Amino acid sequence: MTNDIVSFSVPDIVFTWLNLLVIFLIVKKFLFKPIKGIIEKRQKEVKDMYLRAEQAEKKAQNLEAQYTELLTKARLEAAEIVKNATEAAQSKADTIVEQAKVKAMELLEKTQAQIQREKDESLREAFNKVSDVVLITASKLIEKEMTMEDHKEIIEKILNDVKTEVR
Amino acid sequence: MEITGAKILFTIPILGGIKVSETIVNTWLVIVFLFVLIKIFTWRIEKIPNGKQALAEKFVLFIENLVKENTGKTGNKFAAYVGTSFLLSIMCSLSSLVGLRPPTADLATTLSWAAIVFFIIQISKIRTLGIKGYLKSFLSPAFIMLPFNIIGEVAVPISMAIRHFCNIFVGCVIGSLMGVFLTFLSTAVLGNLGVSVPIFKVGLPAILSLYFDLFGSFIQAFVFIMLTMVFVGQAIETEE
Repeated sequence: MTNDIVSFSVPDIVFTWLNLLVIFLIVKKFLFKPIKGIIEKRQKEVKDMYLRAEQAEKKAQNLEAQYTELLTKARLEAAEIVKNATEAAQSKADTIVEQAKVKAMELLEKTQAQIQREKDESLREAFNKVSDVVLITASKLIEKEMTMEDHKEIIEKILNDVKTEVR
Repeated sequence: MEITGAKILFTIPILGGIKVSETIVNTWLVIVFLFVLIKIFTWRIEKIPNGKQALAEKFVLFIENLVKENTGKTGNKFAAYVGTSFLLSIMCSLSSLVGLRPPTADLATTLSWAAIVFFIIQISKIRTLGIKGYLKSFLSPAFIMLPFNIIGEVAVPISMAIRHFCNIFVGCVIGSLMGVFLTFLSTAVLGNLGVSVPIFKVGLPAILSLYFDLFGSFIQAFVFIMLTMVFVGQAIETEE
């Protein structure tokens, strides 16, 4: 038994509609809903990711600016410290050299004075000795013709002349 | 040979006997197949899609975009209906590939589907125009146009239904005719040589089937949903 080629009865139509309803519910519940859900979830995640990346970038930029500033400051500070230290060292060195110079000068003067003194002394001694020797020699040469005082007077005069000349 | 409508497989003995035709039973089989297919394609969907999930996503987005482009509707329900319509239509038509009589080769099926489209169109119009505006639209531009307007509205689903039905049905008919003709040819040409196998039946029907069953099924399903969307889109746009 068959239907006509072109035939439609109420049961056919009702069955077809029921079938359509069933497959519609299946497609909606098992295909569209989960697929849409997963796509939306993914989109949201991607959006979140972009947002997070943007925030991170901003944060990084801020940090970079901060660090650059700190670094610049540190560099300036370091330069100042070095400068100060150099200056301090320079001034100290200058003082030390100055002091050393002064001390050296003093020492030199003292030494020179001492040398002079020693020279004078040794000269005087030498003269004394020479005068003695001359006196003795002279007295030996012209015995008793002159008194000791006369001789001494003459000799001293000569010696003084010599002394002036030596000086 | 004889070209007939769908076979009546059994009768439910209530309300004076409800005849259940091949068309209905085949639709049930298609629904079960589609259900399994959908379950396979959406099995364990994940955020990072595997191959079949990507295909399912592509299909859903394809239908959604079509709906958005043609009607401006973004709701899930209508897109799901269009998707359903497409899947059911194409699977019903393709069921001929496994030897079933395609449910879409029965006018009752396509006409019932088109009737749903008709209702959706009318409801959309009522929604956008209001019931008064909707009734008035039948009288525009003049009172005399009333019968033509009504015919115009009714013609939409009927033409959709008949187009779909005829394309698929003719595919079946041509397939059968070709079978008969090639068998006859085989017997006539080779029968005298003692070849009883209808050898001419190899080849040509496959090419015809490629067109009528595969290509035709896809095209008809696509045309059906495109028309659905275009007419619903028009119904929504009438408010402007």
